[in-house]
Amino acid sequence: MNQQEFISQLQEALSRLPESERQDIVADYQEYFRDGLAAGRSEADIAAGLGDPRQLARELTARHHIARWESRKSVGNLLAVVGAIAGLGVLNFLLAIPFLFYLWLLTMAALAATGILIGGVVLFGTLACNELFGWPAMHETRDMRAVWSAFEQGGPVGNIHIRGSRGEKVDVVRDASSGKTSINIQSSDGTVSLERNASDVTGQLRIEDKEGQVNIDALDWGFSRKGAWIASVLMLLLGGGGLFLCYLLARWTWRGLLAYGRYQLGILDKARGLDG
Amino acid sequence: MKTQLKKGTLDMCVLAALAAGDSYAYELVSILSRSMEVSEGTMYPLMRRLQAEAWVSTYLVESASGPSRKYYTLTAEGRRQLVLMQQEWQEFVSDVNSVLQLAAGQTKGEAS
Repeated sequence: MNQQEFISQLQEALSRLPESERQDIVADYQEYFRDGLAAGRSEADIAAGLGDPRQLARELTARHHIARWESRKSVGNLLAVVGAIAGLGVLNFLLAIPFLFYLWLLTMAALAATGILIGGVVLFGTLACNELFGWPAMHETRDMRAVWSAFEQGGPVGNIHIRGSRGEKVDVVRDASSGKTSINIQSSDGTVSLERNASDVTGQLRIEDKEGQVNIDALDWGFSRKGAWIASVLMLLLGGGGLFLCYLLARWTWRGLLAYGRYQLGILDKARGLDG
Repeated sequence: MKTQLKKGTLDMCVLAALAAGDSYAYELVSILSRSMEVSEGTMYPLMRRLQAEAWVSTYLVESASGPSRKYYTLTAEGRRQLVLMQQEWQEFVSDVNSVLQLAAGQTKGEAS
């Protein structure tokens, strides 16, 4: 191999590096050839001493990408590192595919966690803002809820008992001490009873007729401020925790990858030392 | 054994050569190959690594004939690193020597 062949092979194999870096490397080797020729050696002898230009280029490219990734951690730079290490011929293509899939999963998980976190922050912020400034206004608009508040605020104090001529009964009972309220409707067809605890969050619905019975415990009374607070805190914890976990995983991954890359470069160094 | 030792100490040898005076790649290879076997292909990746560690820096010197030449010079950090490496090396050598002497003494004792 003469100088021109060596340099053109090197240049071609370095095509993935930025122009300035490629020129710098090529200039280094041209200088080396000049010095070798001045010392009276043949081009073939110098080229043989320098080794395979394509292998040199692969190693220089891998080093370049690792350095880039260390200075700026972007997905593109990481993929370049994976590609460069694969180019060294050790992490082969079959291994790279599940690794890229894993990176994709990690990215998706991080996105999901970010979404949950943002949702939590928005909900928490809205609630806190409403608490402090009364804005934005919160309407508790579900039907069931409206019935209850109408009953509580505008309804008569005390209990209501209505009796029909065919044995129909409607009882509205409010226990002032426990805050428990219940509505019982009874007819020849069956009964409907609705019960609500003072906790403001859950209640009980019971419907009974000749054919069967439906029981719903822990009935959700619709939008509840307390529930929203809990949900927002849960979302913050879940999103934050998930994001932190993804961050840790990503850190371990890129550290492992860098260590792996350095290990591969070390093998190359050793191999070159042996034939030197 | 010899190869691994050489790889570990090659950095130190290059730094030591540069401590004696600024130099360029071909000259460095010639200096080192006077006393040890050095693969020429190793030199540029090695110099780039030393540069990345900020142990050496480079500057260009215009030459009367043809393009300029790249010189390598030790940084302050490089000098500190060289002192550290030399200390470690001396300790390592004296440790190995004392083991060898001990072993040699025992062998002699058995022989007599």
